[in-house]
Amino acid sequence: MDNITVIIPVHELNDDVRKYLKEALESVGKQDKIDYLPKVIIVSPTSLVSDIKKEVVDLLEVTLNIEYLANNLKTDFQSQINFASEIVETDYFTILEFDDQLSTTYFKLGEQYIKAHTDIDLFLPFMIETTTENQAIKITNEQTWARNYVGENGTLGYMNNTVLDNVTDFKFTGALFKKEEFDSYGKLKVNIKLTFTLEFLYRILNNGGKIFSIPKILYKHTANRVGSLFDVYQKTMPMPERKFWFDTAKKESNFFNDRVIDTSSLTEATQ
Amino acid sequence: MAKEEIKITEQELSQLEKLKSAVDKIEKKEVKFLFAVVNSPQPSASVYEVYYHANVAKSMGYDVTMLTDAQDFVVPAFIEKELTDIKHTSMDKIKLSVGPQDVLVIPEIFTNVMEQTKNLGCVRIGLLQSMDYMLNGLVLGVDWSQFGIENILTTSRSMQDALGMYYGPTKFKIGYYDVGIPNYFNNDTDIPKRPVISVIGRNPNEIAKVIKLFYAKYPQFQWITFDPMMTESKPPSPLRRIDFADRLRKNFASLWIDRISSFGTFPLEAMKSGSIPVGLVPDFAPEYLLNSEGQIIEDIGFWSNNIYQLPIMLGEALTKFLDDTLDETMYEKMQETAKRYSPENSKEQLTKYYSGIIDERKNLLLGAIKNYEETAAKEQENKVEEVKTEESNG
Repeated sequence: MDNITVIIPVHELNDDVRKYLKEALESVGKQDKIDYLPKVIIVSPTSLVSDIKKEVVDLLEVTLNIEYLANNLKTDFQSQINFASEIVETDYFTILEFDDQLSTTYFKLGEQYIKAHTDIDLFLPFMIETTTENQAIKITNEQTWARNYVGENGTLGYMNNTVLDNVTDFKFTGALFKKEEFDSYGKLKVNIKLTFTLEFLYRILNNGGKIFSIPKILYKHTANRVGSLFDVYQKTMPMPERKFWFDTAKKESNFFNDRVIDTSSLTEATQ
Repeated sequence: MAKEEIKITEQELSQLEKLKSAVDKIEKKEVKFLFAVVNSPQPSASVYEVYYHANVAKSMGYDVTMLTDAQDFVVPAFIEKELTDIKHTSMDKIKLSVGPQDVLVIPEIFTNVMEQTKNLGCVRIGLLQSMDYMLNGLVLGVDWSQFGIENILTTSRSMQDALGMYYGPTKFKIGYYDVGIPNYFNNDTDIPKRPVISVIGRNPNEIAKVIKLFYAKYPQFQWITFDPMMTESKPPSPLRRIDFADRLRKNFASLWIDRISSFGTFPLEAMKSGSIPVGLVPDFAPEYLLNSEGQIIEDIGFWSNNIYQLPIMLGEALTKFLDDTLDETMYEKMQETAKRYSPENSKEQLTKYYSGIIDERKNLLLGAIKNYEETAAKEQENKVEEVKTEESNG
């Protein structure tokens, strides 16, 4: 089964990015027990495409089926993913951040779970979060398997509102998105900062979608890399604004469209 | 003097008729099989086994009755209905009416029944499944021979060997068979396992100790759910065994702490279900855990003689499960082990055992008949000789 496309958004290119991106791509190429070349879409500003090819991809030790997608529009994370998802031809796609890696079992097990649970709209695999020095910090996306989070009436492994109300740090990089449902739920919202993941998860649940956590570590995430999106949020976003975005995520999850968020209360608070 | 007609006595004739009738009943398969069974609303592998025997006898064409130990006996709900669809009669209600051709199977717990039935002429078999329970029923210095039991059936070769070692090779005819794990435990699903650990144990304190130490050692695994399938002091909702199998099959590992088990049905069920057993080796190690040198076989789960190793082994099993690095050969060896304990194999062995018991009884009866007839013939010859001698002397 050749049913998964990997989307890698790149918004800049420097020595660190070159190093990380090479490792990320090689992790896609070093897969156990598959007999096809994994499909990869590298989405980046037009200005970076040829350099990425020449300075990273051409130096790889693995062979991949890579498509370069030049993006002249917005290059924030959500816009890049939404843009790239439009050219996905497989039933599922995943997001690989350039500083992260897939496990060698990603495709083998991903396909196994897709086959076993055809009714799932979004699979969240366990991920191991590490420091930039590659030291393990924690496992993420595991709380749907905890009885005290899913509640007595919940089903282990399946996300529900009870879990989301209590745990907000689920991550969907490395997740397997069912392409058709990603489109029908309205894709990622660009207007939401910090909590766009949470908003999307709530939105799926509010619309009867199913989210299942794959109990296998399929993704390695480099946490708090200097300059990463969440590192910037952590360093620059004040607590009231963070709270604002958490509240907003839940409210906006009732709407399919990416509405303009009224942030005037934040501006007033900072004045 | 007129030739005197020699007759065997009426008592002897009656006895002979009984023997011939018994043989006739064996040949016509009009044999009664009676199985004593304990009232057990909670799931019990040993009770299941008694019903399994009863069904084997039924499939052999015999008339089967379950003898219950209580007037308010409840047919166990954890056993599938097809297996419990058998006549049940309370031992208190009836006076056992059995002939020499009939068979009474008495589990170890019922030493009182063994004692009370010692004057019956039927075949009586002591069914011994657990070293602890079988000894619990005996007072000091007594064994089953005092109840007239000659035939003993055990559930493993290692139990057979142990009984032979302690009671000697000739005191009892000790048979054994391999217990069958029902095929509904088969791991015939494409649904991947859950990161949930099934738990079976006899002592809730020991189970709690292992789980607490596991969480202490691995705080990153605080989210793991332990699924208590059964404890003796805190009974769970009674699961039918078929539902128990469904639940077991979903979970990636199964924790087993039972120091006094002699056979270890649960780890075998787990192996057949594809759920990795993590267990404390009981005092009497299950035979399938040992190699010919008596050492624990590797790669059929995680086993230790030390209860404090169990939290560590659970952590190891879980880490490998999450990383998908559990060795495929472990699953293969688990299946291979479980294969020996198939219901088909078990049924075949039990059928052979009970057929052997019936054949042996038939031969015994035929021998007794022959003996009577030969004795009678000899007595007749002696009388003829006496008459001849009297005539020649006269």
